[in-house]
Amino acid sequence: MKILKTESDTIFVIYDPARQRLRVGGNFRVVDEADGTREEYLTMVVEDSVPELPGILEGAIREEIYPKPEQELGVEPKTKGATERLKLAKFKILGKIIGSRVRTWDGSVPSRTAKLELLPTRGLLELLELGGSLCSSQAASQTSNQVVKVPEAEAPAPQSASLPTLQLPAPRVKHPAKIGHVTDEARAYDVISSCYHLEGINLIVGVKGMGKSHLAKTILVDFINQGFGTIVFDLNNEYSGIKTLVKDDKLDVLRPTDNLKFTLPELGPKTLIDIMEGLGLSEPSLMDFRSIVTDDKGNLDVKTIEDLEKKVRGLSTRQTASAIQRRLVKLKPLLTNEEGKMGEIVTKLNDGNCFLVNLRALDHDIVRCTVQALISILTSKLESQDLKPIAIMAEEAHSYIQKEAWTDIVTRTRHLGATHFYITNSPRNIPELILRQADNLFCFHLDLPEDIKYVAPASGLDDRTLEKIVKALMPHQFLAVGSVTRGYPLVLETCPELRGVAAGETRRKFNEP
Amino acid sequence: MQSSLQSFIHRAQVGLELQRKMGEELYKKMETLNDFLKKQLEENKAKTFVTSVPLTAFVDDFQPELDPELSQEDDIELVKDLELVPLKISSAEKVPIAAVDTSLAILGETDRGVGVAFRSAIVVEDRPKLRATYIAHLTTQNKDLIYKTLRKDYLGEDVKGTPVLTWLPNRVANLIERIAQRLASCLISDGIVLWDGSLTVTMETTKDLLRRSIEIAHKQGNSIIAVSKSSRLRLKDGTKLTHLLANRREPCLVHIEQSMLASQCNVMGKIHVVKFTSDGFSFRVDVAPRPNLNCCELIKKVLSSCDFERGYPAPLAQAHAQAYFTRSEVLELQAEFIRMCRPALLEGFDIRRHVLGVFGL
Repeated sequence: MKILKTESDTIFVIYDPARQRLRVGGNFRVVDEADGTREEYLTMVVEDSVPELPGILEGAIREEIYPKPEQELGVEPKTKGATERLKLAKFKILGKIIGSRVRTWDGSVPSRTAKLELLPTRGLLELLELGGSLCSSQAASQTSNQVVKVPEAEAPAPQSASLPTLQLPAPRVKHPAKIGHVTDEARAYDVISSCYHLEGINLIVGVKGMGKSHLAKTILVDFINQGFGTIVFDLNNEYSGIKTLVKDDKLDVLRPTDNLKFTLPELGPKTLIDIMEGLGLSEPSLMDFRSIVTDDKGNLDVKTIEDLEKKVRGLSTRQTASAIQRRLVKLKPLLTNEEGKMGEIVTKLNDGNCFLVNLRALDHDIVRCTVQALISILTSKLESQDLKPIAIMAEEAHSYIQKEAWTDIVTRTRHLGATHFYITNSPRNIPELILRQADNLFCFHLDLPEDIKYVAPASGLDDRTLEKIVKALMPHQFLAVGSVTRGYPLVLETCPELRGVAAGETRRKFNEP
Repeated sequence: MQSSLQSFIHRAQVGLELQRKMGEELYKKMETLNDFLKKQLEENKAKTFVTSVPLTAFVDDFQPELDPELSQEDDIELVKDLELVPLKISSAEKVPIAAVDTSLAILGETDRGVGVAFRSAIVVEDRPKLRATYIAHLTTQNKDLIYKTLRKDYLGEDVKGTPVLTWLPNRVANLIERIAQRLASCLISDGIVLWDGSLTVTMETTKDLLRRSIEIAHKQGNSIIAVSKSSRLRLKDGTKLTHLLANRREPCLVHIEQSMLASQCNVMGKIHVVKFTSDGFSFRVDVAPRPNLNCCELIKKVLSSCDFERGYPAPLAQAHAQAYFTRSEVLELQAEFIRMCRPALLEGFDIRRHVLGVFGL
């Protein structure tokens, strides 16, 4: 491997794939001792291509239009075809390695004489001060507090042989959260971060079928195990599969209109008015609605559904009454006069339980009203500090929350202790404000340059670099960047042990091609 | 190797025992030439090596005619009054065609001489039949041996002296091309062997050498037609030979031979200017016909037997492409030279740059 040139934080490397394998997303340590001092750089492969070399065109044309000679005599260079085989890779400098830690890049670049060493997974995890543990499927008996010594037989590839033998520390963190899985030529590791680093705004994006929900479920399992109260808006009822991985009493499934209904007092006048607005009630009608559900002090002035209906019928304007009644009919399946569920939900969330809100196949208005009601109630509970910090996971949130409302929710709740996870295959539907405030981005394969460009600010990478990385991601691979990776982009895989266990169920007419 | 040789000759030969034997002998010569040059390289290893810079300056179809010391062509004067013969394609006149070309690449300078690569290609009936690539280290110590061995043992020619090292790569390339041309003559019969260049006698390509090559072709029932892309021949009034047919649209040819002075007849064949296709250029074409064959008829047979690329015979174009060294191949051959000699690699030094600065580029 030879450095050809550098441009800003990008290093162009010529290499022979027959002698060195590399993959986009892989990490290399660049060691430069040109001026007598040792400078080390942490780099990531962001592009793999073929170089423009003199003579390649003539050779290609000759091969394409003429057949090969029947007989070749004379000398056959040992390096025959080597120049055609040569590849050009672009390495992005992520930081400088000082001691055994990664520090911010200072703008310097390595000389052409620098050596490039493949950085094995365990070395990388050490440098980034991330926890790692042998993959649970290979080391099920290992406990998380043990130091796992990698046996000699599992020594890494020759390129890394010069690295000192490391003892891979298992997570030193108090609240470990598995964020992914990584394999190198030696063996596989689960990558452990902390629930602490997952608090805030998290985005999981990627095209369909790449493993977004899988990753969300992996994190959810650790949240439940760490006692982090979580509410999941489960659009396709695909999270219920994790029941087998957590204690029974820690997971509840809520089904709107069935075991999830709200009393009018639980909703309160503001939520009721917001829901009506969300259902498209016009401003004049909303004024009338507000007048019948609130008293002079702004408190709720209706006790039961029947009370509310009666007051609506009593409105002087028939058109307004009719408009409100039509919306009440939509809302009614979610309302109850009996004892509400929210008290129990708040208590259990405070105890670290998880609630899966099964939204599958529900009427769109019911879905929207349910989410709005729950978010509104939980926000007020967070404001009053009746509710401890919780996590909210929402799949394709744009389909049931309006952008403005979504931005408002995040802005209001992020400092009150709400952690947000948004999982979507349409990243451009995520409000820009949320994107720019994201603490962690988990980006699976994306095809559209517009999507990649849109999420780039959340990655800390420029859109062109991000595009090169995410377009090369295979199914189940993702780019993780943010607090969980100490700000350094890492290409990880979803944890294999959950594959298949928690997959969403899609009914099909045909069961095979 | 024996089986590949037999298979090669079997596929090529057309039944004549003489042709088979001669073909085998020439094939073996081309095969053993590599061992000979390799041995010379091992016995004359370079201690230092400077690669050719820039590469493009040294990678080319070699052109021995460009050497002013040896060519006698400048003395030839032609007279006007030429007869124009129209050319037409006739499917009945199809004959086997073989074509030969050779390239030379200067790999770099060494402490003792120069590292070079040669490549010959033979195309038969639009198929690349053989390609032979050689690396050599030509030094003042081994130049006599290499040159004399090639001339005497490989071509059966007398040796009077050895050229200076500067001209040796071209001379050796020329000799290797002559071997390849003779082998090509054994791969077809009753056909035409196309050469790149001319049938001009030079101090290097002697009359005897050319006569022997032509004899070998004739013995196989073949004629030789040499096509020059460029020629310095002119008529008495100064008209360049290759410009004679510039205004003609239809395929045609003119005879030049009868207009030449007898005392200046140093071409081993008959000179023509030919425009093979209406959309192509015209070329100087030297013909050495088999006894009892007419030159014009032979040229018509070429027209009927192969395709043309801008008026140039496609088999010759393909032979050139097969023999051509791409710059990547030169890099690989330089690497091979270095692997074989293990010399110290030195940076190239261009005195022009140092003396003339930016104006010396």
